[in-house]
Amino acid sequence: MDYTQKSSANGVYTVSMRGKFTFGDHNSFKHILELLTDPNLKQLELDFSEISFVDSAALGVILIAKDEAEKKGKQLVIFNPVGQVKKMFEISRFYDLFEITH
Amino acid sequence: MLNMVPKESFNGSTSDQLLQEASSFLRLNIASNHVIAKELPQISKLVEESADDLASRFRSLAFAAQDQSQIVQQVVDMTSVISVNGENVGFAESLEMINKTLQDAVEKILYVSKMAMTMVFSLDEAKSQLSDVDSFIKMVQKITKQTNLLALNATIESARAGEAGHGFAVVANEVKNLSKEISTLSDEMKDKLNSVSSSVNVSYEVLKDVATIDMSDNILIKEKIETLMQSMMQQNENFKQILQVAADSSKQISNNISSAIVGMQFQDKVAQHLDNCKNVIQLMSSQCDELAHNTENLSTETNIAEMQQELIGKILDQFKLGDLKQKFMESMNEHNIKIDAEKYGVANTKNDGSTSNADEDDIELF
Repeated sequence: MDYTQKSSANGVYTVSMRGKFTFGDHNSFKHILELLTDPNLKQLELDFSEISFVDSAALGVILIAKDEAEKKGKQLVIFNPVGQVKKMFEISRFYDLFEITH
Repeated sequence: MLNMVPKESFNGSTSDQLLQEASSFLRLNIASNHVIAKELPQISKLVEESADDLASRFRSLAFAAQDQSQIVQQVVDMTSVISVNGENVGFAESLEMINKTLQDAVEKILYVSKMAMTMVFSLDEAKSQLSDVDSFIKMVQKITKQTNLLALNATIESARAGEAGHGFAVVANEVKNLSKEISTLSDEMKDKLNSVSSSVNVSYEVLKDVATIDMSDNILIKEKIETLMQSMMQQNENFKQILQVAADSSKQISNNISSAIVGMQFQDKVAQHLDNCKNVIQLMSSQCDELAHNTENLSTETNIAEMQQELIGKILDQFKLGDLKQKFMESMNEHNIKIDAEKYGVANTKNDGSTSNADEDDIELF
């Protein structure tokens, strides 16, 4: 997958991802996680609108992201999962663990 | 019936004829009443036997319906319960258990994934550090090489200086030795580092193998199974409802049968009615008998008139059943009424009960 990021004045950083999110993308995702160290970031929003597929490794790194955000006292929000991704999130109880908006 | 004789021709012989006709009619009456009186108790018996037979069949039916009811109830019970290793587990409970187990599996898959990815990140970090250390060692080796060269140069310079450079030569030598030691040490460090790097790479490859196993299908299966279970629950419910209808039906059958059996008590009434009829007929018969005797005493002729023959024919026509016809013939014989057996197509019976052909001598023909 590839991604673009934008930040807003009130400390909300939005990362829009595109394509399939699988094991091979863990390095890219690591760079996204590094944003959490930015002192200007208050909330990291992960936009899944254009992600067509997640595998179990992807779910693993998203859970790691949750821990990292908590450790650093930042908000993590998931935005608009669709199709297979939405199904996976539902079965994995992500709707209970994360703040997910559509 | 009796011919109406015109009043003008009424004389001794005509009244004789009338008496004759009356007498023979009465005897015919008696003969047929005799048959009827005998038939009525037979009918009564037939009704009673048939009713008994029906009642006992109905009772069998009732038992069968009850058995069916019980079997249906057993099946209803079976829909709610499954026997697992000798223990009874509720159906809904079982499905709930499957649900929980699946959810647990999903959670474990997620946990394993998270841990594996954490290790992947960690090993990435380790590899990066090892790479740095490798650079450091390379730098150390470079430095020792240069140190060696320097020592070499110093030795050469000290040789040029002659006696004055002797001390210097010693120092230069020591430096050379030290540098050699450092070189050996860094070689060993390099070896160790390579070893560690190897191990880390192996671990990394193994972990990659594990972490790349995509369990997303396994996770999605849970949804499929949940849907399947919902359907099973629904079907089970439907099944239960249908069985309940069947159970109610069976009960209704039982009730209807009980009513039917009660309704079978009619044979008592029938027997009573028939008995009454029989008694009346017998009474009438004995009156006729008395009258017949009286008229016979007065008459002089013994022939049966033509119209009686006709009447007999009509009576015989009424008896649709062959054996009733036969009984009538016997009865007429007993009462001394002779008929044209051949004309009416029946075997004539003698008083001793044996049958004979129509064209035998002892039959009186007209």
